[in-house]
Amino acid sequence: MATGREYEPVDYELQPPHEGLGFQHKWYETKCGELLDKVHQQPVVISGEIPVESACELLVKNGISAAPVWDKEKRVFVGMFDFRDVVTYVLLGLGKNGKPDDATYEVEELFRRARAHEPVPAKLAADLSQKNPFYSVMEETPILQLVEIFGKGIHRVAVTDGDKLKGIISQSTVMQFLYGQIQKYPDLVETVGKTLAETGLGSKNVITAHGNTVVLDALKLMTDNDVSSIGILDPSGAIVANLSMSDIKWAMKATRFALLYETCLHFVSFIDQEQGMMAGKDKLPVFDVTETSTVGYALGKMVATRAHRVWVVDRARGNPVSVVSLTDIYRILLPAAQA
Amino acid sequence: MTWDLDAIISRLYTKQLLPEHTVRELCEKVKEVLVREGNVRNVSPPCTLVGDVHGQFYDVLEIFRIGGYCPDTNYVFLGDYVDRGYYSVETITLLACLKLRYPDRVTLVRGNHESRAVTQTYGFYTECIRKYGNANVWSYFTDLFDYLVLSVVIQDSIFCVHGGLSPSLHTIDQIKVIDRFREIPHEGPMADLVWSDPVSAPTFSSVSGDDKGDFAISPRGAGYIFGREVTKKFLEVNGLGHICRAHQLCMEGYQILYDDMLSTVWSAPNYCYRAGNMASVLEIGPGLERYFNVFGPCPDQYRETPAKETATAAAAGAMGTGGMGGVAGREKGGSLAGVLSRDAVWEDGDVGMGSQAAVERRRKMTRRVGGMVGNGNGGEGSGDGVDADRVGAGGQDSGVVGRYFL
Repeated sequence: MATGREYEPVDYELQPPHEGLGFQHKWYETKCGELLDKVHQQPVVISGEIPVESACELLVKNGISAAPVWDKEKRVFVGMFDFRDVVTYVLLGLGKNGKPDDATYEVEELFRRARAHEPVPAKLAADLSQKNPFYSVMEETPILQLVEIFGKGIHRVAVTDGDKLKGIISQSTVMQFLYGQIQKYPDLVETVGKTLAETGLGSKNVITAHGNTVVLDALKLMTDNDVSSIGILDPSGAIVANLSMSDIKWAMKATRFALLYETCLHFVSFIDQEQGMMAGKDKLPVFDVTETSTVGYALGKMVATRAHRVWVVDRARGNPVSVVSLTDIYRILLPAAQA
Repeated sequence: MTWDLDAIISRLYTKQLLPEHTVRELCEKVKEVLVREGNVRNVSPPCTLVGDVHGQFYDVLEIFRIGGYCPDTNYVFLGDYVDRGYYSVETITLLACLKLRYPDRVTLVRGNHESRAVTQTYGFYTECIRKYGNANVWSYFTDLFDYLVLSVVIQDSIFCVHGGLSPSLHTIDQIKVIDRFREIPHEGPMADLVWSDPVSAPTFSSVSGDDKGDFAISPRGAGYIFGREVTKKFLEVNGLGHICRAHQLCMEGYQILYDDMLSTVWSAPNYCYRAGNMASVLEIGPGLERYFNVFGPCPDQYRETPAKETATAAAAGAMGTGGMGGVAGREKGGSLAGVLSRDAVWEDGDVGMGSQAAVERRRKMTRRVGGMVGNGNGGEGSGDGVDADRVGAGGQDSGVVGRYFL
């Protein structure tokens, strides 16, 4: 555990480096605040009184996946609002309608239709505490605590100073940092050098849908199974693409809601082509590894592609056998840190 | 049954679709040609390298107009013939026929889009279903893609590939022993050749035990990103002078990196009919001189889009978009916007590179500004604009650009 010792540069002329002295502290002693400096942020806060539709619009306009919700009366942060909430509260209601004739309509209309079938909570606070527990840390908190939290499946934490929000740190942010540190620590190198089969890493609970499943039904599949991503399969059962809950932001932007009534394959094609155009380069439709890949390779792929998971496939038939997520990586790194 | 390839090619230049059974036969014949070619094909200059075209059929016709028609010009196509554009089927059918007709004048290299997995998401599969009613043509072509060569070496000097280098491949000989007759794997040397990218300012961190040095896992999900040192080493070990590849959008049509050790050629102008970029082909002279012939998109009035096609069928006579007689280049314009009239561009016998007058005329035609074709093509109308981070700003190396061989 962190001893709270300050990091001070050592003059090499006077003292040879010695393990245990402060010249190179352990990676998990890095303070959260240091990570925030690397990632320049303008944190967005959602006020608990605003309706769900405005909260959704804030996410889309700011290009973020989640934002903390502030309760003015209680003067506390009460939870994180993300696209899972949009899916849960809004789109399920929408799915009960038939496909609208008008292919383009505004966010307000979307929510109006959803509300006709299912009430959308005006205040977010009451519902968030169960689904999206709010974790906050301070700038001085060492990363080790984040590793513990992330290993439980929490995707992001807020860094606060009293009731002031300094920033959000996600699983991805910390992993980008850690990836660069791994080769300095023999115990980490050893851990990531093992294969996925050796470590048994990943979840065999693989939720998939066929490519011609309608997007709204696929989203329901995700909420029913409490997963944030599913694999999309072709007729032979091989995995050809990945659909995440957060992908619905592509449908929320520029009023492309009609996409939600299309097939999954059509929707992911749209997303991949848009992303490829913006980046000037296309990517593989699905990020995958095999059971003989090392943990380090799986992690490297997640870090490079900024994905939260990679699918472990049987190369011969192309079907997914398990899925490895950032949460799994955090779990496997933790014992090393606590040694 | 007679197989009149010249007649078929004439039809293909007018963007007609071939019947399904003809496509099947075509693919079988082209496979017979390709199976005899090694993974590394040797090509002699002069020749013209073409980057990604992505189903932009009218812009492929522009390439023939400015670069010369087959077989008067030797062409090396660097892959990515399909996906994204409206006419992937017509494009690949034409190129496959040209390969069959002029096997020694046309080289077809495999790109990352010549793959079953990628074409299912990026448009080719959907287009085949739409145009033929089933997936047979898609499967004929994707089976054909398994036969495409992986790379080209021009006169033992210029290495050409679609994507880039691989940490598993240090020598040309290692490329030669790959079993390429298969779907592109998601990892390994064959995947790397079609997926990798060079980067200008690499910041690498490698976690694996075996030190890959300058390579890092690519954000594309396959292949690697690599830097100057890796490029230099590959050139030195193999006694080569330059690497030319495609695979990344270049706003200027091309990009030169690492003090001219590596260049990217991009041949799809106004990519996806939205990006507003220029395109180029790399013309290599008999003495290995290199010239990036930059061009813009085929002017709007001479191109059709799926939305416009039914409307203009009746007006075929006036615009000359109907049955075209020959392939002499007179039919579809391509003149400098507002400067030369359509008919003045080409004269009979002028098609190839041989005529001095043609060479002069084409020199004047380079650097044409195709301009923004805007949203008139009936596709996406969002006008989201273009991400400024894209690869761009080519042409800084004055030692190569602007020098034209004669």
